[in-house]
Amino acid sequence: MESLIRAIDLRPMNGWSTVLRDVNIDIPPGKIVGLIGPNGSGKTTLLKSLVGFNKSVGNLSVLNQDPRLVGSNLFNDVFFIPDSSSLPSWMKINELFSYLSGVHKNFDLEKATLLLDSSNLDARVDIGKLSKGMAAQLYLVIATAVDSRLLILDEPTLGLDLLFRKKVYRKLLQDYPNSDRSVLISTHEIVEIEEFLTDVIFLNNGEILLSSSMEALAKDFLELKVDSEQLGLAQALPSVSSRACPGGRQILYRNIDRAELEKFGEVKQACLSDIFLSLIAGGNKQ
Amino acid sequence: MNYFLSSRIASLFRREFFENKTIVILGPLFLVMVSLIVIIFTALFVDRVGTFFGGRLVGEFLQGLDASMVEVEGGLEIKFSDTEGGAISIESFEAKEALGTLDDISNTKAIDIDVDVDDNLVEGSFKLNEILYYLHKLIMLVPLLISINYLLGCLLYDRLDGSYFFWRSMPVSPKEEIIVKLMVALFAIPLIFGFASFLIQILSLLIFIFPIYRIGLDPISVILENLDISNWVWFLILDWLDRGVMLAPIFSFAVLISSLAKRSGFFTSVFAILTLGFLEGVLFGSNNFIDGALLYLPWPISADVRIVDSPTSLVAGLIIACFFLVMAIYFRSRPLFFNN
Repeated sequence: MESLIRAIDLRPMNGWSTVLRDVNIDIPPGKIVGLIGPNGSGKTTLLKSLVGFNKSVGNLSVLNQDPRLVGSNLFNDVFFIPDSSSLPSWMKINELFSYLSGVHKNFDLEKATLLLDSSNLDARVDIGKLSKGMAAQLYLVIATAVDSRLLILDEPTLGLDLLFRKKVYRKLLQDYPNSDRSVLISTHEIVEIEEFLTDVIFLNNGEILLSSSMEALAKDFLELKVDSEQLGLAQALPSVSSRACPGGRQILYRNIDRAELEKFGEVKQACLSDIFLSLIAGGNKQ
Repeated sequence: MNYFLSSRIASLFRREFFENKTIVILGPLFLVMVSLIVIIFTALFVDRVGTFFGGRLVGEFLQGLDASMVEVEGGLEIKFSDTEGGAISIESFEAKEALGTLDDISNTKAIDIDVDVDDNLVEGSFKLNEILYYLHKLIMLVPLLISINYLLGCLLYDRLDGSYFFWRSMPVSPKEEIIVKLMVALFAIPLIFGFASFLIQILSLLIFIFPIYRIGLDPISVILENLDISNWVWFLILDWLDRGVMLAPIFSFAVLISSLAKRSGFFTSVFAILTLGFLEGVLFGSNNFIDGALLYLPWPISADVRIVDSPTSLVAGLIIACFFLVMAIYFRSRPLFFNN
């Protein structure tokens, strides 16, 4: 299966300094990939480099084209709007839709209008007058109405309330798994998006800490809840992180046999946020 | 594919209209209203307001129209038979009654009078054409300033308000984007203001019916005898095309400045012009940059240059415009400055 995005040793250059270090990414069709990292980790820089907005060196292929060479034609099949604050503030929503329906051959005006009607947005309002949450809603309406092969979203739910975020993700991402299309989403909100992701990439200080499918992650990372009696034996095994919890400690292991861990206490699948925090903490210590 | 391209280009023009609707709609309306007030004021005080023609009062100018009409009533008949090469030959001159003392003038005596028509679109006998010509030229200074202001900001404001990447993430190339913006400034804005000017000129003629009538003349006859309507309309169309083509290098320079500016297109352009002028003066002792640029600006900033009169300037201007545009496209893709 051909990759929608393939980057090998990609090093986006920002002036004289290197922001990212030898990034390798491979995203095949039918995936919903979460790009997760703390502030300043280089997520937006990476996304901009993937669509050719930032200068970069290394091999890069998006839909079998090099975005640095192909120019604006790439955006017929790739949807990428950096974030909701980049929407033009002077435009009215209906003017924006009119523009998009003219320039974007995959923009479905009817769908966008229906989605807008189902939200609390007024099409005659200036985008600049929308609250942060409303601008995020509009951003997601546009993203949903564009039928692109590759959807790249940068913090799409920033400013949205918790109730709306899950609803949005469900609506936005329902068509993508098992299709010939893929989504790459950068976000901080790991808990809400976790159930929708098929793959995840952790980024810290411009470096990919982890790139894995959610299935592999569930097998590789296990969390052991251990009481003080077994703690010594459990700590003797190579662990990723350890933290105190009521009645003992919770220890995160990577690539340890489940049966072996079960000898010491209760074993469960590690949640994404715990894995992320452990790896980030480990990365920062180094 | 072609349908989609035309739809995309139409959308790009629509986008410019959405962004600049205040200027495009309210600008001409405001201009018409202000002009209307000035025209009414002039019509009410024809004996106190001066014209642009040798400091004469408007009232005296109207008397001049009167004199032309008396000559016609006296039986003066002039046939224009040849305007090639700028020479107008008067073949028939029947004015015995009007020129009673000139008995020696034959009824069919041909008199050759050379009239220089190269520099004027209007013929001398159509005095209203002349005044409408200058009125239009003055009115069209407004869209000139508006267009330059629009171009100086067209590639700057989206970098200032943070929407640059939104526009970049559309399937529209910087080349298409910039060419549409330039076309808006060169042709669309002047077209809209040209219609406003046309309206102002018609209103002027209608309003001046009153003072013409007051001084005892038949307004309809005066207007019809002093206005060549086809020449008038043809002039408006040609003037629109002329300024659209001749201003291309100046406007392309404004687009380039917009792609380079950090905060203010106006100050960046002033700085760039002064720097280039100064460097040329110091290095070569000449002033061709500023003098050359002024050639492409319309009357009254420079002499009235038309594309048919100056093919060399036209070609040179278009080459320079292309050079500026290529640079602007480059810097649009790779901006030097982001301000947010």
